[in-house]
Parts: sequence; C-alpha cells; structure tokens
Amino acid sequence: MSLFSYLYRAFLSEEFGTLAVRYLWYFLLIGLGIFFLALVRRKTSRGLTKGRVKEKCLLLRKLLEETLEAEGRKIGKSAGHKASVNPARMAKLRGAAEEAMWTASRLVDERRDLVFDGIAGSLNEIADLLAEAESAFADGSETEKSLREALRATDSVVERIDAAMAAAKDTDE
Amino acid sequence: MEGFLNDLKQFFRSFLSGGGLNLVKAAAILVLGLLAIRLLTFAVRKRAVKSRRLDNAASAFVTSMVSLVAYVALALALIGALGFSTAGIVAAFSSVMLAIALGMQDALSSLTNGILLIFTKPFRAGDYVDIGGTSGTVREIKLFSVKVTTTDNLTVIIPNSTVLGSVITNYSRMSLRRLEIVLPVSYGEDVDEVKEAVGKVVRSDARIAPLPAYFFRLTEYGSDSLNFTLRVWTEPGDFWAVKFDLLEGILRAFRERGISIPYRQFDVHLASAPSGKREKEA
Repeated sequence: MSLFSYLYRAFLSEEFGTLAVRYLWYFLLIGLGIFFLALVRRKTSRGLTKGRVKEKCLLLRKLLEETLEAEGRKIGKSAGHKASVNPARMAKLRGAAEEAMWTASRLVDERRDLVFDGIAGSLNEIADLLAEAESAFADGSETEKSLREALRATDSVVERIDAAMAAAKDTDE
Repeated sequence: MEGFLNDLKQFFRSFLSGGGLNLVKAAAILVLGLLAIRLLTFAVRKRAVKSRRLDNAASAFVTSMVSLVAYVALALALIGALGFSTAGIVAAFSSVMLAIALGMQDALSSLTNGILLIFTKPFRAGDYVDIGGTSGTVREIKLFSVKVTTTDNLTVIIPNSTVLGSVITNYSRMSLRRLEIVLPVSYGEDVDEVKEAVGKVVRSDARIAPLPAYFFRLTEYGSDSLNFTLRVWTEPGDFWAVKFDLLEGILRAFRERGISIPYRQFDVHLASAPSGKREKEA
C-alpha cells in the first residue's frame, strides 16, 4: 500500500467533510475578525492629529462668532428685554464643543498625548458652559455672557494648540 | 505499520473533532470578542465623554467597568468553548468577591456613594456648599471622599457615605441668590423718604441684579419700630460683600437724610437702702 493511500485511509472519511466545513467556517470567522479589528483600529486612529483638534476648535469659534453677530443684529432691531438664542443654534454650538472635546480626548487615549489632556479639560468646560446657557431658564443677557466667555476660552484653547504644535515641530527638528 | 497508522488516524480524528475544534472555536470567539469589546468600549467612551452629566473621572470609570465586565464575559465564553465547566469558576469567583465585599463594607459603601455623587452631581468642584454642618468650597470629588476647604482655610475630607447621608446645601448652584435685610425705622419717619433713600443705595450697586427687581416694602409694625424688608438678588460670589455694603450704605443714607433707626433704651432707677441697714454696714 502506498503512503498516499495510507494517508488517504487515515484522514478521509464521511465525517471529514463535515469537520472540514466547520474548521473552514471558524477560520473564516477568525480571518474576518482580524480584518475588522485592523479596520476599526485604522478608522479610529485615522486623522487623529493636533491639526484635527484645531480644526474642530476653529469651527466652534466660527459658530460662536456667527451666533454673537446674529444676536447683535437682533438687539439692533428690537429694544427692551432680549429673547434667548434659538435653542437649535445653542444645541449646535454645544455639539461642536463636544465634538472638539471628543477629538482631543481620543488624541489623549490613542496617541497618549498628555499635553492635550488639559486642552480636552478646557473644551469640556466650554461644553459645560454652553450646556448651561442652553438651559430653558437662561435669559438673553446671561446667554450672551456665556457665549462671549466660551469664545474667549476657545481662543485660548486654539493658542494652546498652536503652542503645542510648534513645540512638537521643534522637538522633531 | 498498519497498527501505527491506525493509532495515528485515531489520534488525529479525536483531536480534530474534539480538542482541536474547541481550540479553533475559542480562537474565533477570542477574535470576535475582542472586536466586539473594542466597538463597545469606543461607543461607551464616546457617549460618556460627550455626556454633560459625567465628568472625566466618571466617564473613565464607566468605560473601565464596561470593559472589565466585557472581558470577564469573554473569558468565561472562552473557558466554556474550550470545554471546561464555567460553573465552578463562577462559584469560586463569587465566593472571593463576597469575602472581599464583607471585609470592605465601609469602603464599598463610600465607593457606591461616590459613584452616585458622580452621576447625580449635587455639587461640582468650586461650589460653596454646606454638607451636614461643614461649610466650604469643594476642591475635589473622588470615588471615596470629597475634599472641602473651609472659609478659615482648613481642609476637611468627608467620606462619601457621610456626604450622601447628610443634607447638602449648595450655595453656588443657581446663578443668583436672594439677600434679605430687615431695616427698622422710627415710627415718625416718612415712608416715601425711606424708600427713596434705600432705592438710591440699591440702584447705585452694579452687583445687584436688575432682574428680578429689588423689593423694599414696609412689612411689619414692630413694638419699637417700623420694619421694612429689603430683598435684592445678586451672584452667590458677591453675596456677603453686597450685604455689608448695603448695610453701610443705607446707614449713611439715613444719616444724611436725618432718618433715625430706633434702638431700645432703658431707664435705670437707683434705689437707696433703708437708713438702719446703712449704719450697720458702716
């Protein structure tokens, strides 16, 4: 009897087909799992840079400036007690602050950039400020005060990010 | 040779259909489990970080707890996939956890209350609070205790179990706080003049909020004076300064206008002792 026929007789049987299918299925799952793990890791880390955090902060600053400008125009049109800012607008501002804070937090978690831990903390305070201003009990003057404070804080955060980026550039050089 | 091949065949057959299959199944569960954990912790972390109700410490804690539970579940699933019984492991783990819990009751109580504090947020760092008679500014909120600095610069560490078991008064939560002062004025004074004097003092202080408008009315006919009540609204941080400035400012304004504030006066009558007793003492 040849070796091949021995091996054939040793391994091939009716059950072998079923077993092979099961093994194939598990190896497929393992392969898919590893593929998706790598994909998820790549997707969560993609675009996670200091520049991205700065972009989010600049967007927040732009929205704050636009809101304050719009409120300024509203005051010019009507005298007397100021109405609150449009709630949808406030929610958008808060969302922008939270998005910037989330990006900064991810930079701290994924890239271990501890400088951005303080920046994430400051952005969290800005989001808290905007959330309070969004509350139903805040009147127009309080809201405007909160928006101006948020704008000042955002400018300060952008300066800190610029400083961190400049420091990182010097270190690389 | 035939026998050897038969033995080899038996071995591979039993391995492939038994332990080998379990190993590959466990590997698949491990990979898929890690993928699920990664997605879950990412989603939980994102939700927790963006939530306005959880601070950094709380969101990190929540994410760690979810991650821990997920990894324990994955470990149990792997052990089950490899063909071992999980019942014994779960029982042993439960016994250990029970022993730890019994031994650390107080600490766990503080930890549980700390978690409740983080989620319910009766106060934040920087708030001026009174916790069961201890007043001060909250410096840190940790999982086991709260650190408060009193007005005379003492640091008080309050266990979270005590915090949640006490009445908590937060002086900083609202944006405005009402200040009330009762002003006694002599019965002979003109009410309108008193109102004008006080109104001028109140309006000159920029720290007093324009809305809600201040309140100043005659509220009582006292036994010695007409009692006026002044109520103004100011930011919690300015409360005491505004109170002291108002008291001094109103007194000056009353003196300028000749408005008198009555105070109790006593007539003292000295009685002399009978003459016989006086000679005896001499």
